[in-house]
Amino acid sequence: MYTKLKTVSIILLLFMSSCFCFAQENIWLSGDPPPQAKRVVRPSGMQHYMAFRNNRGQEKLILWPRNGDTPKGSSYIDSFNTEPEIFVVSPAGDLLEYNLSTSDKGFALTYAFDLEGYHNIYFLWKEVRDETLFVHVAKAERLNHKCQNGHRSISGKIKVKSFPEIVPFEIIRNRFKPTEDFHLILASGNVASFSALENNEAIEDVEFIFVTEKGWSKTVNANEKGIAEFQIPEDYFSKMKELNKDETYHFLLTAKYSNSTSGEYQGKAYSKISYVCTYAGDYEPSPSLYKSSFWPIIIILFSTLAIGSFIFYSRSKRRRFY
Amino acid sequence: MNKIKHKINLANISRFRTIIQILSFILIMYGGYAAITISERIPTFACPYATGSAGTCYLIAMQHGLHITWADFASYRGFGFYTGLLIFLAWFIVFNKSWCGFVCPLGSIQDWITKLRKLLGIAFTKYDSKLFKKLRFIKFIVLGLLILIPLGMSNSLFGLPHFSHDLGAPFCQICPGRTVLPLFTGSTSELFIDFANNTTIFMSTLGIIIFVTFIIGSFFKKRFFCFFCPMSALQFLFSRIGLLRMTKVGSVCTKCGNCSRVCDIGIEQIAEDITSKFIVKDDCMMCFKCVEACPENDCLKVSFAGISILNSTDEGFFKRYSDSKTFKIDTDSKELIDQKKKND
Repeated sequence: MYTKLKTVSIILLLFMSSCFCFAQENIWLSGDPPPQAKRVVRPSGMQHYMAFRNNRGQEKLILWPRNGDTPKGSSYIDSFNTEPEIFVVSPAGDLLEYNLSTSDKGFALTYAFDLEGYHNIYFLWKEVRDETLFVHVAKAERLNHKCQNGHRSISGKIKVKSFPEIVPFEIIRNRFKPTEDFHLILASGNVASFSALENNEAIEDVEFIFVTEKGWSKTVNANEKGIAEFQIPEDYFSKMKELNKDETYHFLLTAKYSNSTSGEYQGKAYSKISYVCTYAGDYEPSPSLYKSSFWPIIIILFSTLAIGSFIFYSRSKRRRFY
Repeated sequence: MNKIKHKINLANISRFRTIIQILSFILIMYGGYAAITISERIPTFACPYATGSAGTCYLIAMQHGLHITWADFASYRGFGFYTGLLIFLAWFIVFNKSWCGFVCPLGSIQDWITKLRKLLGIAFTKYDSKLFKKLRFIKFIVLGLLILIPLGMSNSLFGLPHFSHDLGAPFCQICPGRTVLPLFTGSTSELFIDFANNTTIFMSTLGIIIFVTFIIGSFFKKRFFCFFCPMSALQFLFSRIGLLRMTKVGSVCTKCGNCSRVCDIGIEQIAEDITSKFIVKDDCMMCFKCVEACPENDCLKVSFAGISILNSTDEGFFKRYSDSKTFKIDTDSKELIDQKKKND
């Protein structure tokens, strides 16, 4: 009886998921390559983004669309059920050319990563079903910075940029003011602040779901200012000698929000809009794991003693000489 | 015009230098708080690790610029390195090595530590000639490593494997500027030991040891760090094209040794060399103390783009050393001279 019930429920679940595949898809943009691509791409720059060089030596950045609710459990996809609209926006606000195709790097989006500052990448799906407009946005923010290009106009280049004219709903990571610069890499222990913008306005009460690589998750609703904050956890416990301070861990943030706006999309009327936006980010081990402020004190004391003794000895020797 | 020139020749240049040092220190260390950015490739220490810094030392930009593959030197990334070098030169050509004597915040800190030592009445240390000649090459070795290590991180040098990326900008990791300058903004954030791996442990420990050596060394030896400074070595490579120049007329020199005696670095060649016209040596920081202390008319000259701006004069020498307390020959120097006389 129990086995039959189980089988029926699985069939029912599969049927439902095929019917509502669009609503249940949780596609997001990952910077972590699939196993077959690891041979042809490499981490580049201080942010360790995956990149490769084309024949002319131009560096191209890669993002892989994935489907799932957790960074680790999500599968790499090789096609879309519904083709998305894709926008790659440069730090200057211009739309950039991109290539979405299957190659030795997997099914991936590649684009030239030249200008300094944040590049915004959006995959957008819209569909009207049951009088509801479903809007799904998969967003990635990628900072391009090379120290050799200098550090001028930091605040302008790291400023949050949103593009309501192309994407009606998106997650933004609020910058750490006034300390954030080109070198920020989120680390365990940091309190990251996010907002969801609907037509460039931060909205309150949006549900944010933050999931880390190992599946730790937390749900927070945006406050009256439209801000949701998460302290990035440390959900890995490597031994000290195995600690790699440059190890990159991934998190996935999903924002869900609906309102009762009515309208028409592609000739279909709707009375409600349901937004889902995914935003994937990276973080590193907390510097407090490997940086010590105690040991410098010991080294300062010992060095002072050693150098002081040396000076005392050499001076007393010189006096005898004279 | 002659009257102005005469006045300058009699002027207290050291006092003028102190004022410039204080103003430069305030500008470089705190200018960023007033949204002032001078340049990111200035030929003096201006540490980006110090919040509020109004500029960035060229050495960090140079290390980042060299952290590219050989092929990249012919690409736009290499172009960044070349333009950076040109910007550095544009700043440097105007003021030559006087960046060290008048502007460098690390140099100013060393001068202030020297003042503290004088106040406490503690004698200073001077290298003897042999040691001086041996040690002066260290800054060129440091400069060589500063160039080779970033190159070796992106390329295989002499068949060696690539160096660890944890070396980052290697000189910055051991530079006393990184540890000392943030202290003036109330930050001790750069005083740490990085236990992430063996490379970071070594570099951060070395950085702390150099920090201590800098403080103690500057206390006992005037401009202690300048002797080992790779920026000074880099500047020397281009010092002949500087518009600000210091020249010597050897035929007028009596080898009295005043110039060498007042020199914070202790360059003896400036007194001994009567054949070279261009007298800016690799350790010189163009503070012009030697010009002030020279009692011979027109023996030492400072010119800008060929226009003479400061000459040594006997009148200026006697005015400075008889009228003003500031210019009495350093009591420490006196001690040293007395000791030398006794020894002779």
